[in-house]
Amino acid sequence: MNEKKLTNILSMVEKPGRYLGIEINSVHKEWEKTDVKILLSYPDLYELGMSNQGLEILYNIVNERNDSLAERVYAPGLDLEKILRREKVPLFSLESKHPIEDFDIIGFTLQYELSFTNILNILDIGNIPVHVSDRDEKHPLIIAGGPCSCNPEPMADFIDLFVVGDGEEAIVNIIETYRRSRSIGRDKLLMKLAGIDGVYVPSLYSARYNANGAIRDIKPVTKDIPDAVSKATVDISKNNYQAKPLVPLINTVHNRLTLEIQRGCSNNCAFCQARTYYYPLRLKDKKELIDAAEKGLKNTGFDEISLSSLSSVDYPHIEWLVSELIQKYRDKRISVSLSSLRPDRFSLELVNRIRQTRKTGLTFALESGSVRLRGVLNKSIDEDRMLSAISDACKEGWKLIKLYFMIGLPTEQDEDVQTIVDVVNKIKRINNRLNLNITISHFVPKPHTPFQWVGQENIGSLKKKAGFLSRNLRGKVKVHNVESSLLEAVFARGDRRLGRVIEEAWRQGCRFDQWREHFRFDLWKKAFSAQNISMEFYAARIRDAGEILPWEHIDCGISKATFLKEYRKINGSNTEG
Amino acid sequence: MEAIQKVKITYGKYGLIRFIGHLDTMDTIFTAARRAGLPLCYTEGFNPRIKASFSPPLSLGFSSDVEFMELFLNETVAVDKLKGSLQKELPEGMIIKSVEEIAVKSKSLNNAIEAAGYRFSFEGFNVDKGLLNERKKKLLEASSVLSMDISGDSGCDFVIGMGGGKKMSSREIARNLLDIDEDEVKKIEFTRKKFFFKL
Ligand code: SF4
Repeated sequence: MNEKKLTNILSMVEKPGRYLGIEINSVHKEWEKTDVKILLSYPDLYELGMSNQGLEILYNIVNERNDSLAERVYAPGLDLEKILRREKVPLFSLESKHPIEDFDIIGFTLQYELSFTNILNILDIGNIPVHVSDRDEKHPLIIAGGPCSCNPEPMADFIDLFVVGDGEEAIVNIIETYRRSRSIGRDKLLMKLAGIDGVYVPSLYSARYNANGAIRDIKPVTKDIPDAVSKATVDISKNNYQAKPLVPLINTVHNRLTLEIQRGCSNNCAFCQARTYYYPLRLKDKKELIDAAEKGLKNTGFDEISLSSLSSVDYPHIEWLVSELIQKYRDKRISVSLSSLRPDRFSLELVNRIRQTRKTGLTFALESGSVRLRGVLNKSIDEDRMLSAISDACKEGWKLIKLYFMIGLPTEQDEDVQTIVDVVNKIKRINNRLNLNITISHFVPKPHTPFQWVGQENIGSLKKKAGFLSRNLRGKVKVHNVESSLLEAVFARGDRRLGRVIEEAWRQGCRFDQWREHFRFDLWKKAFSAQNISMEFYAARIRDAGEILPWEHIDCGISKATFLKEYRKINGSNTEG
Repeated sequence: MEAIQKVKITYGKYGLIRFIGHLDTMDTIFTAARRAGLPLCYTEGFNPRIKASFSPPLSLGFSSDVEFMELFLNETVAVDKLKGSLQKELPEGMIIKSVEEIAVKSKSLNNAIEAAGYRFSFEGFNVDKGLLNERKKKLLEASSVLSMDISGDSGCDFVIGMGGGKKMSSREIARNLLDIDEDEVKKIEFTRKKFFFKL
């Protein structure tokens, strides 16, 4: 795109800073001289997408290679979309401003179900047919990875291939196979790519259904393709791709240095998909982390280090790491923060050390107030220890505590909901001046968890429970949008027939569904009824243990038998309780 | 930490970086200063900030030849060295024009600004000199525009005072002068050319 045109467009949008592509540490390679051109995309607004570490790791891996380049694109804001469509300018990459259709491969990260319509929209504004079947040799290969790929089926119509699991090695294998076989034709190329660890090519599988709507089978269409795809897993201690993170030029969700300290989780919370998707637990070397912090700070100039993982206090060297970092960077006013604290195990000493440099409050995901329910969730928390820790924290001057609860949990009774009020009251009693920010979300049964068979509670009853909590909780209460949770439940455990609904909803104007202000449940409802598909079938229905699940052919490392055993235990505890 | 040196860093903003707003520009310079390893001073408290002050906000999309920041340092650094190491860390389009040492206790220069000069080009617009002169006269009478020069054919230079008169933004001034609408004025590239300081 010529410069005049670009600056004209940028002048007309509200936040042009999203589209500049000149961030510190962004990589601008020579287009003509590079063989494989890859575009990486987080299908949501820049401010959100820039905080995704997975994409950044891939960006660095690809750009370190001589034979390939990686650029980025995020979902354009509605104002930019309008201008691009009006002026017939195809969506362009941030770095070189090439139309996205000029790339060889476009890779999306699937972080949450409600970003699906954005993917269709990005392709469409980029002049690329949204359907796999409408694309040919001249179009980029559309690939996707990230947590939602553990059930990729709802997006099967739109994505040429999924990478299930860790992307670090898969992307390299894809590039190499692509280089060798790019000219043998798209179908043959996809067959070759399907041989890579963790790669799933949905068009090479077909699904059949029973009269009751459940799946009869999902099978490969030719015999050279495996019946099931196993996710890719890498050794994360080996390489360090965290040394040169991008530094945004505008304020984003996290302008800070994020260091992954471990991947996977040693806990087994029954509602949690992340523990399966990132299984098994792998640790980073503590000394290398110190080194990575030093390099990262030097290359970015950030004033905050965030130690990130699914459950950071479970990292065996966490105390050592935190005190080392704080000591080392105190003079430079660099603060250290931890993602995800577990309420019963955090050491007050550790937290206090962090507080010397940190700005926000303490965050606890309690999930439920009820001891019995937390047992069902397999997330036991020692409440007394938590309360005494909070009490100590208060004395140390902490003023803000953020609490997360879920409602609609399997086997939940009204008295379980009351326990949320009870536990909040207990916390409030410690110190009345403590500020509590309480977030209530709705339980969404996810694939590859022991709860993959259960039905989601209906909207009416969830609303009643949320209403009760909003009236009775002493603190600032935020309740997730219940209709969003319903859609999330539909797509999390959906099958390929849902592709029609996603397309219909997008054509009706749905995008940025994750954003309350853009979420249009009315349009979604219309889309489901236009396609004659029931939300309840996917969200509320209890599956038989014997039913073939849409993700049955995707192996994420923990077997169905293991989940079933846990599921049966929960059902057992239900009848006892 | 006491500041023992204060420098005035004058820089220009050109190209894509002009689409970064005031606060983001400050943060961008701060991270650059950290990467450059400058001996920075911080404010006290739980949320320490780098001690510095900046020239008045520049509208989003404007270029400038004359932005400045006053930065406090806790060690003495040679100005040439500072200029080189900071320039290396700044994003494309932010160009350091000069670094001067000023008295540590001196008052912030911001308070001394009386007026600012801007320029935009007529490129892409049909201009009728007679009409322009009429509109110019009105603007001078009715607003905080202190002076305006449209004698060259290529564009307009004008000075806006910080004091009395009806406050008008540069874009409003251009709209009035050229009689164009809100969307058209967005396409004009303005450049801040000069600050006028009280003596
Ligand atoms: S909820 Fe958190 S602690 Fe529990 S298994 Fe998942 S990641 Fe681990």
